[in-house]
Amino acid sequence: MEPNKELVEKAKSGDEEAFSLLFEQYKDRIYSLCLRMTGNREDAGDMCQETFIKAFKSIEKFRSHSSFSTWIYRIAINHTKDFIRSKARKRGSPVHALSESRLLIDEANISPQEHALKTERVKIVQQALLELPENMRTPLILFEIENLEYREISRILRLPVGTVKSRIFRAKIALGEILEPLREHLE
Amino acid sequence: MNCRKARRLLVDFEKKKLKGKTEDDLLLHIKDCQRCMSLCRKLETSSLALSEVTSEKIPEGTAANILEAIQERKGNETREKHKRPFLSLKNLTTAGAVAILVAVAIVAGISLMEKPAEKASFSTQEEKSTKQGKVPSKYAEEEAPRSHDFVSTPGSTEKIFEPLVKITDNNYNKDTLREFFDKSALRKEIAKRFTVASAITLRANFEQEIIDKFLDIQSEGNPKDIASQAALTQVIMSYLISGEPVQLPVYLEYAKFNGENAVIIGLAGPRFGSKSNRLKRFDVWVLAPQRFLTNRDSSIMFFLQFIEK
Repeated sequence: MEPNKELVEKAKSGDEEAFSLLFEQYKDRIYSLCLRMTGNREDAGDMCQETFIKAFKSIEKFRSHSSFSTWIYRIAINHTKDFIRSKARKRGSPVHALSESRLLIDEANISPQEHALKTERVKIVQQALLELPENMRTPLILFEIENLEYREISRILRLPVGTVKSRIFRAKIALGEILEPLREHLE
Repeated sequence: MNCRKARRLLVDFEKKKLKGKTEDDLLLHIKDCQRCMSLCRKLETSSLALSEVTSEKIPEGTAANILEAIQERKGNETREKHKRPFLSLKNLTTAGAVAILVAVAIVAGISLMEKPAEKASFSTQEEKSTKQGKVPSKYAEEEAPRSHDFVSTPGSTEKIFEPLVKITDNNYNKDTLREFFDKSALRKEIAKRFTVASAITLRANFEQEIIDKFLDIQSEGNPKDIASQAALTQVIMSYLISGEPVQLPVYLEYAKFNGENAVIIGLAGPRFGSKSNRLKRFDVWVLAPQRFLTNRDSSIMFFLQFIEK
């Protein structure tokens, strides 16, 4: 859902309320994207904050030749990619999923037993996602979890649609290979 | 339907986005093709897994903290503005610097007017940025669109430029290869579109694009062999461009050269000793991939260089 242009224009001219409304519209999507990219709630919160601060600082420079959502997704992805790289450098290895017991699941309306099983499954999948190279993981998350169209992903990542499609295909195959031995736990 | 086409459709098929004849043809192919059937299963596994992971809402506390941080920043900016007296030393210094810049700009303007008009008209946005010493930002929407963007924006009529990747049965020799590149519009297109700055900015992207495309067009064969061939291609490309940071890989063809398997790589770069920052030099390397790992020098079969005027 694209915010109306009037709202973006108001935010560009310094209207704080308009920016707060934009924040309300995008906060969940940006947080969710950062969460899937980092696999960690705390880091996702930080990345989300940096994204909106960056957007707030530079919204007056935003030109409407692309959509606001493309613009803000791109800021979030660039910040998160930089963060993942610097974290990997510090640790000397790629960032891996956390062992948070309450990792990334919707807890509403499920029994404790179901909850435990689902927690385990989500943890496995998130771990597998983080094993994918970043250039495959990001298009996959945008396509499968954020449900964006190929065309929008291509604009966000500045890649041809064909490349986006092939990266999603390869990411899914790689993920399938990683998770094939665990398929019965997922069914 | 062949495997290559089938694989391009598998993700959409698995998402139930295909209809009619395309879906029927794909189903027929999958039924008879073990390899595509196994890919289908992997796609299914990953979709099953990803269905566990859903989009998640931001915790209320985190959202409130972010809003607070934004407001705090806004408050700081406002306080900063009010704090500064108009005739502070900082303001005076800034005013002085601006005056000097204006004077420099006037002098530069006068000297530009003395130069031939057509030279100025060829200067693209990117060249101007480079001349001004600007570094391309990754938050690209904050800037004017660049002439070489991979993806055209809606309504744009500009052609997209992508590196060319082919696997062919061509059997070149020195003359036919020279003739091929002599006639190719690719060189002129690159010289027209790209500058040294774009070579530096886009090099990693083009390298990745070439490998992606190479993998895309490899539909048959053992996945491990394909992956190792892609890795070897990447190593060969890196070897060729490592000595020169401003070379842009734009062409890759697996073919034959004098009957032997060869990889042909086209690299665009600036002309040596020229003042122009356009990529007017086009190098063509022909290498024998099977010899590359044992002896890099002996793997070079042929080399060509073209210079655009």
